[in-house]
Amino acid sequence: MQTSTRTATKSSPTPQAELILGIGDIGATKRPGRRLKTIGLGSCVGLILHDPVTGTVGLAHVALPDSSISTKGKTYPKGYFADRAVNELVSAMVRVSGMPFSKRYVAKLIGGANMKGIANVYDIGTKNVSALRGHLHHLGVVPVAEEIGSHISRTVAVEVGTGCVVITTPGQHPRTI
Amino acid sequence: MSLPSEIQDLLTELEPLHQVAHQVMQVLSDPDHGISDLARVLEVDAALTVDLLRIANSPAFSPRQPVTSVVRAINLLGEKLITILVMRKCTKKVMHKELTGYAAGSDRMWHHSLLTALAARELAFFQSEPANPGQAYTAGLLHDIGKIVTSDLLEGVTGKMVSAVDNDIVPNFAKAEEREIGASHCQVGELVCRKWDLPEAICTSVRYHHSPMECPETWRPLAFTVHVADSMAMMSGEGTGVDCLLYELDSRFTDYLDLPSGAFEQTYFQTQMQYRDLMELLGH
Repeated sequence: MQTSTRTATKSSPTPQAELILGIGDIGATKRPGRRLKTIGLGSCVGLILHDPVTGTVGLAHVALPDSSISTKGKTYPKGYFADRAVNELVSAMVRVSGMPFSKRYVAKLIGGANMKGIANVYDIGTKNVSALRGHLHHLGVVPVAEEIGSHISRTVAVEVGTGCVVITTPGQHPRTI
Repeated sequence: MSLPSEIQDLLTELEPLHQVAHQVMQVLSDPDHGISDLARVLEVDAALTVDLLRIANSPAFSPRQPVTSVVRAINLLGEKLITILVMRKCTKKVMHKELTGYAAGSDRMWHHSLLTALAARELAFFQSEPANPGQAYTAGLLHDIGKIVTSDLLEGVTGKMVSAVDNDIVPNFAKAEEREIGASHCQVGELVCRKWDLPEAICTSVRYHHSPMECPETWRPLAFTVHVADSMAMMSGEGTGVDCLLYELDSRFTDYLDLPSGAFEQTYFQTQMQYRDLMELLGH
């Protein structure tokens, strides 16, 4: 079983059994052999949750820290804003795993990059990371691994079962956390 | 500016811009243009007209009456979408080129440029002087066009260029290009635009999109508009490869765009939603 906010055409598994998530999307799955992937995290942050007991993994592609800036009545993907993404991802994990939320969830954060020398007020990457840490803290979950900041774009894939995360960047060797 | 001979040779070999794309850019640069001006340009290309009518009559738009004219297609789809469809088709050869020197696949340039163009159009409304959203859109679409030339000269050397920026030996990737191959993609982009006989505003803003304060005063608001739009696209992760985010965002843009941080994030959000909707429509 898997869940995603994307339409079927956007999130159809590839032959390699990858579920590709776009900006603001949320996905969760526990099907063996599957991977959740999101491409091109700049200032956006990939929030990953992994339940080591059921092997369920979840991924949210978070773009901005606070939904209060959204235009009234304008719809947006569930994982777009950090203040909604954490609870939405936890709900997806609970639905897919069939188990209630637990503080045993393992969280990882990837992304939050920015332009060089950017002024704090426009530093969306740092704001995203800070907001996600705060919302995770409220749930009693502390990220066990992070690759954040710097001036690079990242593509992230997470495997069902192990929760192993592979990060790739144009012109660089892949990293695993 | 004295250009290295390799770049001059590549510029000489550059194919002309598709005639319709050129005329569309001319129309958009005129703040007083109307739908009929755009239709007149598109109607001369039979294949393009057939394409636009096919899309306008598709289930995605479900017109009550069959659409049989370009003017009606523009009215139904809107100038923004029509422009994107036309430019995607007419600039396919150049905008979908694989930028191997930047480690960017064949669709990266188009996606990055489209997102920048959408952001530039939104940001144009924040200019302190009367805005021209069509012009900002075109400048955004073409801002990185120099990379179709510089990419060929960067293969195998970008690793040390990235290190030079990371270690602050040079302030940004454009300066690293100047050091490595004698010209940046901005400088080459201006020359590409001049070769294609595009309006002065487009040529100049392309030249200064990473150094907008150096832009002549007349076009500086446009240069800052493209500068911020490009930054937003890179922050969204839609870059053109290894140089994504290896540039500064010049905070003096607030002198030319009335854009407090809240409006910055709102524009970032609105542009991304527009882009997402477009990608769905275009089947990406």
